[in-house]
Amino acid sequence: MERVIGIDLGTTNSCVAVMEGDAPVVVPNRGGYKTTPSIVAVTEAGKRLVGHIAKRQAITNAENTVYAAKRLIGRKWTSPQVKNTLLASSFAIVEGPHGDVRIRLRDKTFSVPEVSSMVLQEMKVIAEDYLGGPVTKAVVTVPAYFNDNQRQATKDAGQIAGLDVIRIINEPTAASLAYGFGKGFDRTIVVYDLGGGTFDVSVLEIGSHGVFKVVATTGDTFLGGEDFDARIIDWLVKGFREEHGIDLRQDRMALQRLRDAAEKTKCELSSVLETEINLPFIISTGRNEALHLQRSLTRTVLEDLTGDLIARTVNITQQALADAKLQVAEIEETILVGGMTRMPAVQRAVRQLFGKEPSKGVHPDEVVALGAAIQGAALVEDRHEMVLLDVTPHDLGIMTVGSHFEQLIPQNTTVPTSRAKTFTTSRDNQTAVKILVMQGESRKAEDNEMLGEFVLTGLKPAPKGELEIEVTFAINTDGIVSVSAKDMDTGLAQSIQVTATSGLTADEIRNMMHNAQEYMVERRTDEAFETERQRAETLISEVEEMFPVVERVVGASDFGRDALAKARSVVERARQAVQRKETQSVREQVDMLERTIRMFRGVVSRGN
Amino acid sequence: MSGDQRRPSQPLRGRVPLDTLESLESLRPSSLPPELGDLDFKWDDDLAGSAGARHPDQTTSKLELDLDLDEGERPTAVPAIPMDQFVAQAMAEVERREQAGADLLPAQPFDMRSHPPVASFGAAGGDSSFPPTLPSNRVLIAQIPSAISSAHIDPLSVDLAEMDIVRPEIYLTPTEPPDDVLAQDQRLTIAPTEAARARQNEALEASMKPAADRQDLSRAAMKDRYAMGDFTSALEIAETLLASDSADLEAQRYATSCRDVLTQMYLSRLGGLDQIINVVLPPEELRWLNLDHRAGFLLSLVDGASSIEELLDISGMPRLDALKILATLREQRAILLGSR
Repeated sequence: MERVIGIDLGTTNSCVAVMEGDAPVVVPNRGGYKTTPSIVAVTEAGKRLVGHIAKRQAITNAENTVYAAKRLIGRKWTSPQVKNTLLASSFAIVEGPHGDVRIRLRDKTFSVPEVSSMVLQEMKVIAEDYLGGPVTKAVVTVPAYFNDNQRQATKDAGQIAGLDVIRIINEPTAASLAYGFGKGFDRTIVVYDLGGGTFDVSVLEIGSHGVFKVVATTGDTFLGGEDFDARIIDWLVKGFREEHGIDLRQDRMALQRLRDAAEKTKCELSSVLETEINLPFIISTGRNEALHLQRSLTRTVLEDLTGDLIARTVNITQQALADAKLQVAEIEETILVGGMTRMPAVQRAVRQLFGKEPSKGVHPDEVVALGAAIQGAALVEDRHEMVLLDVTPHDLGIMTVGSHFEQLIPQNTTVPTSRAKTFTTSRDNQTAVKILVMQGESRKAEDNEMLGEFVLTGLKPAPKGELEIEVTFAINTDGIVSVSAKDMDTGLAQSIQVTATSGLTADEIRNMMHNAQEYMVERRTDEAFETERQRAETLISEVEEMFPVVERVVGASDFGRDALAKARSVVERARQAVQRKETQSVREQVDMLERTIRMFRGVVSRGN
Repeated sequence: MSGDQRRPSQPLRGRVPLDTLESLESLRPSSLPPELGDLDFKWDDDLAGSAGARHPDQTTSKLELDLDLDEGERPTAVPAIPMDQFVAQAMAEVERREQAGADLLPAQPFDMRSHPPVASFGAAGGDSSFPPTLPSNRVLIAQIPSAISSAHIDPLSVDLAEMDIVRPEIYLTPTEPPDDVLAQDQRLTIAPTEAARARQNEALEASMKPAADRQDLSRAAMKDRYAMGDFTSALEIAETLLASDSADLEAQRYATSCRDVLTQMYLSRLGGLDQIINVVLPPEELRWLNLDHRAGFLLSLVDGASSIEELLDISGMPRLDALKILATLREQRAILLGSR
């Protein structure tokens, strides 16, 4: 049966998991890390960097390093979130041809799904290396608040990366799955997710038959571990300025080192009470000397520095409870998600808020990916008890007079579904009505996202409030929303079909897929050559080490001289093949080198 | 040296149109500047009889200079073999010497009072065919440390860059120490050589001349440094010329060529882009080295798993600068290189 991978495509870090037997396991990347930074960069030489290597140059090559692309995915250029991101972004964000968002790296412009696809492709490669074969299907998680366009953009990113995204599931739902919820008992839980760049809190009602209902979800897309790091950096910079009168922020190399050190320090202080920050040669003074930075930071000081950030998460959590119309006492479980929840002060704050210990059985960095892997396996194995139902992520409705939003299909309604409601005209002798199809939870239409619009004309002139117009919303199994408006008097009707869009056309997606495939072929070719080159060089060293012994044993004979000459020729040919970067040729020479070594070993053993 | 070995077979320099970047690129692969690419490399050595050593591209041709200098007045020899082979041979020699006499390289911290001066190239007992035989009046860089050793310098004040002193003679054979060695640190209280004094005077005179004259002098100096194999100085001058006129094609050519050769040199010293770097000195000992913040930054990126190429990618520094720093760190035994 085909393996399905579960991917937590995070704002700052991503994680991939697969099912091994009955248990999900997280797959480590080549560096041995279980999470991979969701960072993509292009070097001066045009080389693509993804993951840790991209993170390590994120400040020194800030203009060409994309981080937190998830904040932009599926958003329109005009959206307030994009404007906010523009203010804080070090890379160039530009308007795309379809009102979408594009990112400029060096001399090339990328769509946001394309950038996310590079991260997904990396996760795919990690899983393929682990499983030893190709992977084509995935379950990808998204925040519960993602709208249809954002979900579609995430699916497109998967497609560009060569993955068939068989299901998009909510992150808090995935986390709940990993904790084993949904198996025979009902629960009301809170998922407190403090990640690297965002904070999300969701209240879920979990039914005993696999129904995961997101009752409320809220958060802050600009609050996460990076803010905690920034506080440590501020503290270090301030201390250094007081001591030496130098602002380390002015030097990118120094700032990159500060950032790396701050993150490391923060992690260390989750397990120890005090740690030392040691950055030798952090900056040159211009007087032919370099200064060192050496300071100790205690957990208490870190908690003082970041106390307000933790307080913000508590306020947002209280807001989520208020949105869900639930009291603290009604929450039965609290799940901690995201690396930042390892911080003792964060755990303490959650414990104090809910009056009970949060669940900590599953690794907070991995829990979402594990849940996605569980769901992936359930889908392909047809285990109905574990299969989540597709639900509408937000309310769907239309705008009515006074800029009010009238809901037709509420959030969390399972699809397919259909709902109708009757409306009337708001002016006398009105002969046309404009239907604005919207998505969102706000009662104010302007706060929600517009999905489409159409006009129903030819209405019979009549006093306001007399005509009846029936508006019907229908969502099919593919998530396509159809909206129709019908004049009940004349039978005149008009309709529109709304398909979630990432802002990319089918042709664009095809081209991007093609580019991604080409990149993978090139990468695999390079890797294959590298493997052969390393084998060849190891064998060459071995042959060369044996030369003196072989020469001593058989060098005096014609056969020996002949054998040695042939061996030297093999070594030379192998070197030339490596120099020419011809994988096949190197492979052939590796074979010859192995035969030479076998022959040499025979000679040596006889000589002894 | 025999002048009749130089027979022109190509148009004289200055008559060859090089007005487009395309033509520039097409001439670039040689490690020598394109207009010198057709030189007979044996014009100045005693190996004229060995025709086999001639570069395939270098048929009989005449050296042509911009300046009104007689070729015989040029102060040095162009290597007898193509530059890339020259560099490769030189690096092989470096490796061989390192293996044969690792004790020639001082361990850290480098105490110049306790270490004998590094043997000169000839004294190290190297292959007599390499480097090319030098005229007796030439001063080897390797002789400088002996002057330093008597200067009672505080070992901890020795600049990182000074460590280059013990090595350049292995692959460069200039007639005199390159500028940077003398100029890098005034704490090296060695008296300038005659040639250095002459150059200082030249520089003083140049500063008093009009800008156009100064540019001509700089251009000539760049070519001389290049011909001497002092690629670092040649590159510095080329970059100065480019700073005042970024469209200076000749300076661009020289700068590119110098960067190529220097990159090859440093890479050869490091063993290739795929070498994995490890920091071998503990942090407290690292502090004793006289490093700058760029070296400190590069060291901070070393994780024991990344290759040189990866480090170059993530450092954001110009490749040549990063390679130079890594090569120096290796010489200081701060880092160790190995296969993956």
